[in-house]
Amino acid sequence: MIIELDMSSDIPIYVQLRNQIVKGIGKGELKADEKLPTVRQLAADAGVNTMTVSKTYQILKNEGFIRTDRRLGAFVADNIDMNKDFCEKLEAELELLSAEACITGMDKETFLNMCSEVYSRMNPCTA
Amino acid sequence: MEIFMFIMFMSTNLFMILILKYSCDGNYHYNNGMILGVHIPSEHSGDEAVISLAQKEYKNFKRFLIINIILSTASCLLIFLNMIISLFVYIIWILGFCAAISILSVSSHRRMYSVKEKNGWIIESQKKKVFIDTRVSAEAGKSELSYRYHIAIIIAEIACFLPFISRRAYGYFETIAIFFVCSLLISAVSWLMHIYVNHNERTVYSENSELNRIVNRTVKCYKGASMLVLSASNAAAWIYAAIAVLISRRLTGTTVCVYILIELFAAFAFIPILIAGIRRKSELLSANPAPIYVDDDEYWKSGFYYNPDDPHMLVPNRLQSGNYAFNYANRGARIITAGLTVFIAASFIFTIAVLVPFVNVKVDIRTDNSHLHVDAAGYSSDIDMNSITDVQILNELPDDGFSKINGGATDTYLVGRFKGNTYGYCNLYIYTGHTPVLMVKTDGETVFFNSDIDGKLQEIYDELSHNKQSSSQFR
Repeated sequence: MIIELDMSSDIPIYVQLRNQIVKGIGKGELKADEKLPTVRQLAADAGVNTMTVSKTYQILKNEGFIRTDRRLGAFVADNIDMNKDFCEKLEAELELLSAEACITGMDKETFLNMCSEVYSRMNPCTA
Repeated sequence: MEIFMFIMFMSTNLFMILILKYSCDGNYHYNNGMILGVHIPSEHSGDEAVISLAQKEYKNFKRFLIINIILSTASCLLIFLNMIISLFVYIIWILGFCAAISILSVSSHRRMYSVKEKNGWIIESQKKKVFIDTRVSAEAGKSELSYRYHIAIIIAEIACFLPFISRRAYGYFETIAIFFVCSLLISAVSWLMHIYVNHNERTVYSENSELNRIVNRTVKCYKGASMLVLSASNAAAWIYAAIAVLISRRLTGTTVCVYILIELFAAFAFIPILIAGIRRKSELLSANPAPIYVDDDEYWKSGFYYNPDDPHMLVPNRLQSGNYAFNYANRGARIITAGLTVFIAASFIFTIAVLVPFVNVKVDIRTDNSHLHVDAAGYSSDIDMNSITDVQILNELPDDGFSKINGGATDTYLVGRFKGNTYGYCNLYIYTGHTPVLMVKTDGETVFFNSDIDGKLQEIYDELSHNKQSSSQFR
C-alpha cells in the first residue's frame, strides 16, 4: 500500500502513519500476514526519527492490527477481533463525528448514507 | 606507444560523451511528470513556453556534445606531437568539460523552473508530501542478484596476489602491488555500491504498488548486474596480469597493454547495462496508470538538491538519470564535496607540477669538487666520487626488467627511480636508443645514464676512472 504523509499537517506523523496503515488494512491494500517495513526502514523513508515509527507500531500492536516478531519484524495481524475496548473507542469517535455532522447541519440520513458508502469501500483480506 | 595512447584516450573520451548523451537525453523530453528536471503538470506539458525552451536547450546540448567531440579529438591528436603537452591539454579539457556540463544542465533547469514559477504551476499542498510504498520498503536489501557474489571475486583477487608476497625483491613488485590495490579498490567500491543500491532503490513512482515493486526490483537487478560485471572484468584484468607476470617473471609492455584493454572493456561492459536498466525503467513507467506527483522542485531550484527536512545524504539525481546527487542541506555532503574538490584540485596541481619538467627532457651531467651531478626532469643524483665502488661503460642498458617507481618512461627517455630484478633500486637518466650507457655504483645507490653529446660519456668515464685509481693509490 502507499502511505501518504503530509509533513506540513497539524496531525502528528505517528498518528498519520497509524491511520494510513489501519485504512490500508481495512481496504485490503495490506493483506493479512503481509510483512511491513522495519522501524528503521520506515523511519528512513519517511525522514523521521525511529522513535516515531516505533510509537506507531506499538499503538497498532496494542490495538491488535499488527503483530511483531523480534527477528522477523512487523506483520499485519491475521485475526483482528472486535473487543470491548475497540467498541468503546469506536463509539467515542463516532460520537465526535456525529456531533460535527449535526452541528454543521447534516441530516441523519445523509450522514448514515455517507457512513455506508465509506464502509462499502472496505475490503479487508484474511489470511 | 603514441598510437596506443591515442586509441585509449580517444575511446575513453567518446565513451564518456556517449554516456553523458544517454544519461541526459531523457531530461529534454516530458518523462515521469518532469522536463529538464522540473515537475510540470501534464496538462501544461505541451505549452509553447515549455516546448520551445526544451527544444532550445536540447539544441544547445547537442551543440555542446559536437564541440566536445572535436575538442577531445584535437587534444588526443596532440599525442603525436608531444605527449606531455597533450596531457596538459587533456587535463584542461576534462576540467572544462565537467564544469561546462554542470553549468549547462543547471542553467537549463533554472530556466524551466522560472517558467513554472511565472505560470504559477507550483502546487503548495504537494510540497511537503512524502509517499512510502510499504511493499517496496519491506523489500529493501532484497534483490534477485545478491551482493554476496562480490566476495568470491575479491577472494580470487587476493589469492592471485599471495604468490607475489615472496617476490618483493623483483623489479615488477611495486607495479604489481599497484595493480592489485587498484583492482581490490574497484571491486570493494562495486560491492559497496551494490549493497547501497539493494538497500536504497525504493522510489515510489506510482499509486500502483505492484508497478513500484517491479520497477524497483528491475532497477536493482540492472544496477547490481553492472556492478558485478565491472568487478568481474576488473578482476579478470588483474588476474591476467598476475598470471602473465608469474609465468614470464617480468612485467612486459604487452601485459600492461592487455591489462589496460581488459580494464577498458570493464568500463565498456558496465555502462551499457546501466543504460539498458534506465531504458527498461522508462518502458515500465510509460505504462504507469497513476503517477505520483510530489512538487519538491523548490529543493532543486538552484540545480542542486537542498532539503533540510530530508535526512538522506544521497538522492537520485534528477538531472542525470541513473546517477545520484548530494543533499547539500546535509553537513556530511558538504564535507565530502569540499574534501573531494580539494583532493581533485590537489591531484591536478600535483600532476601538472610533475609533468612540467618532462616537456623537454635534457640529461645534464657535470663534475665539480670531486662530485658527479646528473639531473633530468626534476630528478637528480649527486655522487661523491670518492664513494664510487664501481664504474662501467656498457653498450646498452642491461636487460634487467626495470620497472618505474616514479619518474617518466616513454619511447624517448627513461628518467627517475626504477627497480631492476638484479640491480634493485636504481636512478636512470637514459635517452632511449643512445649508446653507450654509464653505470656508476656507490654503497647507497646505482645510477645509469647516457648523453646525447658525442664523446661526453667517455670523458666522464675517464674522469671517474682516473679519480677512482687515484683514491685507491692514496688508500
